[in-house]
Amino acid sequence: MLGKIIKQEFKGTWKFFAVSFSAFTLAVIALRLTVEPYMSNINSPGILGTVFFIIMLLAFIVITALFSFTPTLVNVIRFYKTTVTTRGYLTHTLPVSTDKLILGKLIVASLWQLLTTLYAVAAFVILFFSLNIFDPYLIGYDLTSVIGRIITADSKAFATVILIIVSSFITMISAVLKFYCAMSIGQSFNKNKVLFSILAYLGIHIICSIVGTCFGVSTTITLQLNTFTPQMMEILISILKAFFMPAIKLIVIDLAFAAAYYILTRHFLKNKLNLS
Amino acid sequence: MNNILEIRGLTKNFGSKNVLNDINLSIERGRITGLLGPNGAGKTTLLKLICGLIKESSGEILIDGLHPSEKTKAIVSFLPDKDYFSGSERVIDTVDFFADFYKDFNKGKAISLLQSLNIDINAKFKTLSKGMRERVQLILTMSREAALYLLDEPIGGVDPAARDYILHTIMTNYNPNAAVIISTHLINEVENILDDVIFLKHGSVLLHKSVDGIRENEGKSVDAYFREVYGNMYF
Repeated sequence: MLGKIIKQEFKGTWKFFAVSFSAFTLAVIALRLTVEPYMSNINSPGILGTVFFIIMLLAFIVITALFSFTPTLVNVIRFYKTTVTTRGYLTHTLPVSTDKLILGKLIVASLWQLLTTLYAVAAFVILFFSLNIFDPYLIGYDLTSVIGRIITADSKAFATVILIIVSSFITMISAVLKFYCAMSIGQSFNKNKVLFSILAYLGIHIICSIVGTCFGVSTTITLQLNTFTPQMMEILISILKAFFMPAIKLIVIDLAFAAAYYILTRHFLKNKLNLS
Repeated sequence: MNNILEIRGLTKNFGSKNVLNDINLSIERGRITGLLGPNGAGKTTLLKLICGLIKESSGEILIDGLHPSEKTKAIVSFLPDKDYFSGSERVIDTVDFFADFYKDFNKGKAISLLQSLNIDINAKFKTLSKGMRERVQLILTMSREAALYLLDEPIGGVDPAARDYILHTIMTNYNPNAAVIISTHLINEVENILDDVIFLKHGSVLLHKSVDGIRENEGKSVDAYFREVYGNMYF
């Protein structure tokens, strides 16, 4: 049944993402074509070239921000419509457990979020590499050799890179569950369900911020940053090494938050369902 | 075991408000039961509890010997009194959705019933009238070979011709080995198809008798008896 839920979630969302991915691709291509004539000589772009490069960078940031927000918007609307509106009469009478229902939605939502992120990163790399922005002559170092150095030179720094990737993925899942949790709490009220969902989200966010601060993740990073060495490569490796323990802490905290969101979502949908 | 549904000491509270109080019922297979009572008697709450949409405060519900769960949802076909279709969805998409999730769903029967109403299966729900959408929902519910059908106000708010169609659809399409519970306050309309009736009042079962028993013992129709029992509520 989990597979069927996943299938239905894809069926219910793919059209929105087809539009979103197409619009983002067209916007990036248009941006690239618009700016190209002004950046023909990247080594000495001139004032006009520099201005256009900055405009392109800002435009890319705005477009990417809009694009990156799409999965959140689509997933929140999808969850709300299918589980807490009258559609819930169908959803919650399917021969599917609450766990499979939440997991199915979570898997599809996370996959769209991941695909969107990877696509935005790929667009950034293609767009800026195609303009030779990362030319070693221009930025003073060879980016590929920096990455290679991190991988080979220091196992702790490399482990941190992996931890950051894992942490980002868990944070992404946790963020989706946070919305589910807020909507599940909000629907349990008799009236103003949307308002109570928003209030629940804000409440959860405040509680989690306090808990996160109590664990002192940011403080640890600040203290560790004082150990930088002057050389750029060494600074980078130092940052990564300094972030090793905070990254682990972040993963543990995010996993704990995600588990709490999941348990609350499950509890409210299973025991406090209030379809009007 | 001939009882498809057993309810023992069922109570449901919403906060401090008691909606159902110590309900005890047994429903046999092959019977059509009318769940009757005025608005606010607890009919919809009882059906929601049976189909597992909400949790009981205390007591026990057993469907084919099982507590409400995904297993019982596979054998219970529920028609809510709300329209759950999405306007942008096509009729055939929902038919496929039912076929995908319910092993007991008869897709051919559903399409045949839809075609008998001249409903274009490729039409989007937003193009269908409210009455048509209600009929599609009924057809989907009745196209399952379920063990227990729960129909919440299936004839509420529809014209007499539509009522006839709905009752005909129920009578000609339910699994004869299954039990059907129809919640309504339009007793006169459904009386002829019922085997048993349950009168609910203020969340309690007032009586659970066969229709023939009421006619023989009370010497009046269920509708007349209902008016006698509930009449003093409004005066």
